[in-house]
Amino acid sequence: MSTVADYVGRLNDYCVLRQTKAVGSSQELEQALFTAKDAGQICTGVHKLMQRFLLIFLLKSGSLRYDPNRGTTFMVDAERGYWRTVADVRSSFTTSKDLARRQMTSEVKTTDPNDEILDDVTLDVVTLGDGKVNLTMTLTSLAGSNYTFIAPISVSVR
Amino acid sequence: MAVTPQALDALSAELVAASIDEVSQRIAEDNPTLDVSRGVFYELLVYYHALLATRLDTLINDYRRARSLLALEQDPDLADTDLVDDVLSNFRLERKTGTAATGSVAIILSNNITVTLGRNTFFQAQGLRYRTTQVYSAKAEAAQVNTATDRLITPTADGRYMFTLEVEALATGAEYNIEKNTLVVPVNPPPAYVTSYAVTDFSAGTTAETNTAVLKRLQEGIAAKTLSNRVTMAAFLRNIDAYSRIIGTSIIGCGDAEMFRDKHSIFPVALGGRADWYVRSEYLPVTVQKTITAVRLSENTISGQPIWQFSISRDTAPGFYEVRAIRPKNAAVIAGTLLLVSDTRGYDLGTDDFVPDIISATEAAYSRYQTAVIKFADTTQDAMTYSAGATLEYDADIQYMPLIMEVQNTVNSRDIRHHGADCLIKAPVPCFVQISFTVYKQSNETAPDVADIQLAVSSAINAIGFVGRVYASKIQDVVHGFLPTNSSVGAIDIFGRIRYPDGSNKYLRNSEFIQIPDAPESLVTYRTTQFFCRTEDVFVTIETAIPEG
Repeated sequence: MSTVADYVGRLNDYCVLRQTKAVGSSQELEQALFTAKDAGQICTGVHKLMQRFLLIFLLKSGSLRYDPNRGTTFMVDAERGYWRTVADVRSSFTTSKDLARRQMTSEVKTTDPNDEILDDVTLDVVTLGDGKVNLTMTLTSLAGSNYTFIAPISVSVR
Repeated sequence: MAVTPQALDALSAELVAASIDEVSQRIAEDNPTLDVSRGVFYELLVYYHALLATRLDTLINDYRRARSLLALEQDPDLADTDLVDDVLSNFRLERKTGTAATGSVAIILSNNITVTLGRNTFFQAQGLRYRTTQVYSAKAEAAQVNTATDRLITPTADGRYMFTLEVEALATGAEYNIEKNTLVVPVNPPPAYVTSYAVTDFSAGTTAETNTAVLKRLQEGIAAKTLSNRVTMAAFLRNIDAYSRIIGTSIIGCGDAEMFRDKHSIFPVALGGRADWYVRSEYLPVTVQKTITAVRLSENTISGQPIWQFSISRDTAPGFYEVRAIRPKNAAVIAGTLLLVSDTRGYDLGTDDFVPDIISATEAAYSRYQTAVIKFADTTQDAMTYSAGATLEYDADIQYMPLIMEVQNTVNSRDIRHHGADCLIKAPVPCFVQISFTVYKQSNETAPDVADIQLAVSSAINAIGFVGRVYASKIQDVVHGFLPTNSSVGAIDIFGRIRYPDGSNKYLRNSEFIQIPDAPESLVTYRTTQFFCRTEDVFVTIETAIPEG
């Protein structure tokens, strides 16, 4: 269980993609700014890195008018009906992952800790069908396995 | 709202970027533990806050600029009319509101029966609505005509009956100034109704002053109002209420190539002291119907039709351009004209106390001193029907620019005129323009409204000042505003006919631009000539030629 002390000296961000299972297992993310149980959460470390990656990965390139280069073509491919097979999804993923990684690499600061710098993302499982697609990915930071997972913590409303 | 806020997708990219930097920086200073340069906080909050902040800053900046005369003159469409009116009220300047067009309508009946049309009887013409403002009673006997709104029914040449009444447009605007002979149909036709049409061009319909126009008037308002230089002369004219709606003017004076009236001396030099003032009082010349008495001449056309002649005095239609049509009086058919044989211009200085120095018909052309003798062949008659010297009444449609005589009288008055010069008021030399083009549309697109395009194109051409050129690109620009996304415009055929002051015609045709020739010896240059384009002279063809994408 992480505490406020774990956040000292780190930059935190809103936690909007929440983990729904126990730490250490494969997660199914849930999108929430706040819930009935809390007034919102903050996160840092690998979790923050994961959020940043997904925000860029799932953002349609060109959709932010004043930041047109941000985002990837992953959701564009989905909307165009490009995906017919698992191989199509993997092809889109590979292209878009590289786009996202390039953008994240360009934003790296010298003060960033290793567990907030993206090393790689792999697509483990793709399930197509029933009008939806499930992706299981593994994200690795530059710290590799040499890091302490800092869980998101709830914040109170001031 | 006085100033329209920018859409979120129409902001300046530089301002947004600057705003993002500022917001990030300020939040980081306030809360150093937040990661504000990327991630959720950045994309959900910082980015959109910066957009809204930029929009607000832009709005405030626009509002501040809208209070500035300098900024308003640079961008007259920046603010809405209310805000501009507020600013101009500081200079005691009021925007001129629009006025409703009025005109006469002829009602043709099949029987000679008494007809009463109540107040607010509605008429339609070209999709525009008009109404009567009084109760009109059309009566068969002259003895029954007792009030100003009682009208006598008169027989027409084809055995029908006719009376006229006045109507007023339901709304203000120059588009309600319909042309003579346009069908004006009652919404609820009276008994024995056959048809109805405009007897004269409708006039007096004006649109409320635009920001550009009222700001221009402000500039002139600051200037002295005297017959001195070009700015003060324009200011003088527009300061008089009756002339405040004048569209444009151009002044030819000492040293200009078009000025010949100051060279009347035996010495071959320009002595100065003369000004030719070309005044465009309306966007389009007005056509008025006059009943004239023609005299049968002894000559006939080569095909044996009798030639008649009548005169147009200097007061009939002062400064007129052309006789557009001649018909037997109360003719049943209002379209077409008898054959015009000749149009010989002259001039008549009358017995006025003061007249400008004029020595030829060319110098007097399109001024209030112009006269004409018109010969025409009555193709409806046999040569033997009337002997030479017989007289007969005809209806003549004469096209002229209003206010030429009135302005001339004003500048001739002793108190106003320059003590050392004369000023001759003229209607601009006319270049009548016709535009033709094809709109190519996609098969699944709705065809654009041709009437709207015609009105917009003719308005754009009529708004061209004394610059002497009509560009196809300007027309393209106007037309594109009416087209669906995938439609295109083909080559634009621009055709112009200049009626020179000496009576000759010159034709211009091009698909890129037409240009007024530089012929000062004929008094035709860009400084003396204006383009006139009626809505019905804009020919638009819609063609479905582009396959669905």
